[in-house]
Amino acid sequence: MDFDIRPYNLSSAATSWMMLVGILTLISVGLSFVLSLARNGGSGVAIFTRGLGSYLGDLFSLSLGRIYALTKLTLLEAIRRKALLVFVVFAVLLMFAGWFLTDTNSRPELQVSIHVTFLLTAIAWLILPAVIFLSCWALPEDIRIRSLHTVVTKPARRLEIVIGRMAGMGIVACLVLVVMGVIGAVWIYRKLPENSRSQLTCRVPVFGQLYFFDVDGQPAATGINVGDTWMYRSHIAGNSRARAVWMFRDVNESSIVRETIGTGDEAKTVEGVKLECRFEAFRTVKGSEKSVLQGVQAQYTLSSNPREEAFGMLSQGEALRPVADALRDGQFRNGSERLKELATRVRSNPDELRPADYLGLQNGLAVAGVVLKELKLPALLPVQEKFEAASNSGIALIRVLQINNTTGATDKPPYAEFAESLETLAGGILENADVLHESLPKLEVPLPAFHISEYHEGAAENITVVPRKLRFAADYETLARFLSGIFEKWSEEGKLVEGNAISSGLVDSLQKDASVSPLNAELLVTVLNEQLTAGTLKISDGKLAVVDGRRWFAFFDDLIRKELLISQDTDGWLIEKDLLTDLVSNGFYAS
Amino acid sequence: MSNAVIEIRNLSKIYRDFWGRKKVQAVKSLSMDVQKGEVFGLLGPNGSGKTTTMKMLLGLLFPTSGEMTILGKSASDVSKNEKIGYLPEESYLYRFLNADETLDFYGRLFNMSAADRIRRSDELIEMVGLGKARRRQLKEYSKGMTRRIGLAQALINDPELVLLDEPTSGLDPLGTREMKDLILRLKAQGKTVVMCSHQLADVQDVCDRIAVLFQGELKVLGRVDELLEMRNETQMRTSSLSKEAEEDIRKVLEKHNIKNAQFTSPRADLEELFLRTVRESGERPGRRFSAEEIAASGKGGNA
Repeated sequence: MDFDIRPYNLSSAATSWMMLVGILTLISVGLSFVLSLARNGGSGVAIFTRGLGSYLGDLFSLSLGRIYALTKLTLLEAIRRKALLVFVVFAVLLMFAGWFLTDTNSRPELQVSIHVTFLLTAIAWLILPAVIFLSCWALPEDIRIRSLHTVVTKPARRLEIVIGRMAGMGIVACLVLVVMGVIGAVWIYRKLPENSRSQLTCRVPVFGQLYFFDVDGQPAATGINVGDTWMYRSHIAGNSRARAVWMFRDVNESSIVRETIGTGDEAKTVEGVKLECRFEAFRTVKGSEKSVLQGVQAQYTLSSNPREEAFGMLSQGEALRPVADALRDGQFRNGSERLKELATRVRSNPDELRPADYLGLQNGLAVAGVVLKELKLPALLPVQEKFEAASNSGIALIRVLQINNTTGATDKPPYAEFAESLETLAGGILENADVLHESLPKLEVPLPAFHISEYHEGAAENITVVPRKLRFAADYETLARFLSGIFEKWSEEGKLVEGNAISSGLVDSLQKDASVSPLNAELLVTVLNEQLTAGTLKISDGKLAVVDGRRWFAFFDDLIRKELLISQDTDGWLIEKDLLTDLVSNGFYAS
Repeated sequence: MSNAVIEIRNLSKIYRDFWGRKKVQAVKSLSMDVQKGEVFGLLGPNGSGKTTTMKMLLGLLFPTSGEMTILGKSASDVSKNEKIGYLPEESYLYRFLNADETLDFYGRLFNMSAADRIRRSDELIEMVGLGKARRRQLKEYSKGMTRRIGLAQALINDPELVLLDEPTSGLDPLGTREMKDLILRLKAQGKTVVMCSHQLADVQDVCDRIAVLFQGELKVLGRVDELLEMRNETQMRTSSLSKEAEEDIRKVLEKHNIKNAQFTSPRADLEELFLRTVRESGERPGRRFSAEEIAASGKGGNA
């Protein structure tokens, strides 16, 4: 069974409706024709034609004035015959409902749910009798007391009478619904505590595309099937590298909500993105009562990772995985080496790889080419072209393999050409390793972990508002990018150097302008001075620069890998990122 | 060129049960015409097919066989209703509306403009004498008032043809007289009126021609004055005769071989007595009239 998350399509629904009405009309017309023939014999055709003509005549000579007259009549009938007494019942219900609904012990989100459910149920059950009474009073009563005789002896068409009466009843029902809805909304708004009111705002869902990482951390289309038939409900294994990934492509300013959290003096408004999920746990062990009650720990990680998108598909097949893993991890030199090894295998011993492996490899190469192209970065163009060339070569190879497989032919597959294209690609990756690393940044922001209930009732707990300004402990890569960004800018501005030494005010600047903690700021300046002394850095023209011409990113990456910048704070290198400008620019992932 | 407003040819209606079996034949091969500008009466005992015929004319029932045209159009053609006014046997109106709303509603069914509806409603409410009760809902009306507003709704479109089913039913003698006056006024305006009624005196008073139906068949059709004329008798009316004058006249008549001459004072009918009493009671409240006074004031139909 599948779950369709596409939004409601009005035009398609209208088409379906018209088709259905058309089919029913045809069936009715056909049935009438047969009945007319059965009742009247040969003259049935003429009688049927006359009837049809009269109906069509009615259809095209409908008068809005007459329809309005009958609609107004129905409205007056509803008012004069006291169908709208439902409002009184509604008011009484609302007056006393508070006695039974307010429970100060309940959580605010449940209060909202209880009040809204009560209101909707009350409205539904009150509209129902009103509509039933009205429909009984309208046409059947007209026929019973024969007031219809005075109407049909006027130039009113049958269709006008039916439409007018239906429109009247529809308007009454809508009116009742609107009035009750407005009164109910005011009632709920006044009833609920201030901090719960934001939950009344209608949420517009933005559905993400869901995919998974399996326990080995490899991309997978679905998670684990625990026997539940709903496809969208697959599970991920706990305590492993398995992840569920929702990919959102349309996160923008309009996705930002403002929520007030806390009450009274502690209340503060948070601006961010609201994530709502419903989790369900499936246990393969019994667990203790305590652990069951405690629920399951879950954690969101916001992630922007174009490398995953570009090279994830290369993971199909064991043989190709080392290449994919290296590229996904940003180790492009290593990835280039692995690719060369693969090319050698293809050239020397092509039958080691199965046709499916070649297919997966070609597919992965094609996806990488497309994703790199979509990024529209000129620096990536040479590599992107090599991916495309390798993909095309793969297509030629697969075509021959397929023909051999289906026709039994023994044409020699162009393994050599394919291997050559892979080698060219490997060379391109090696040549552009730094460009690739800098152009394809991975940014991961772990959010605080939280407990979720193992049961469906806990759905409300799974709403998380992710603040727009994210402050988190950066990982190595993010720290390198953060520091290189600052130093490139400040180097250009000449803020780093004072005479022939590193500026004495750099520690303060790092604290004030880059929100670096005092301890880490001092550490950084100390390390920079050490590097200056060691000759890795130099001062020329009043600017600080890396001696071997490397960019700041490579320099800091190297320092971090040498573990020279281990945080002096227990919190780690806390940095701040903007959810929209920093994370969304290359796509937005929450895992 | 035919001047007929209604033409009926071989009209039959058979009521059938659910299974299509014949229950009763309400109208049998009815053929007749109603001419423009005349008041036509459909008479007959209960179950004679009067109302069925009228409903077929209005398109409320479909004939089993035969043809009929109204104002030159088929009875099943809704557009014919533009020029027809219909007062049903009982006034089947919406009891939750008041007189103004009722007339406004039926006026809208004719797509009349707002100004026309207001003007026409005022005229008709005035005409049927409901000016003081126009804001009351119809459920508060007496039977006579309901008939009047029913008549007003039938005339809202200033119809050429008015079909009245038992127009005087439920009306007091004053209302009956007013209804008859109204029918005559409609005739004077050149409208055609078809009415069916059990009140034979009323029919006699207003109808030009009548048709008598019995068990669905047409038994009599013709002008009222011709049908009721007693060709073998002569009536003479003078001021009160003395005994001597009576004897002299009797002798003259015997000379011409006429032997069964009768001399009596003419009597007013009960309707005239009632109308005169109501009128004079209005002029002299609190006074009771003796039989002599009433007889002395009787002028034979001049009430």
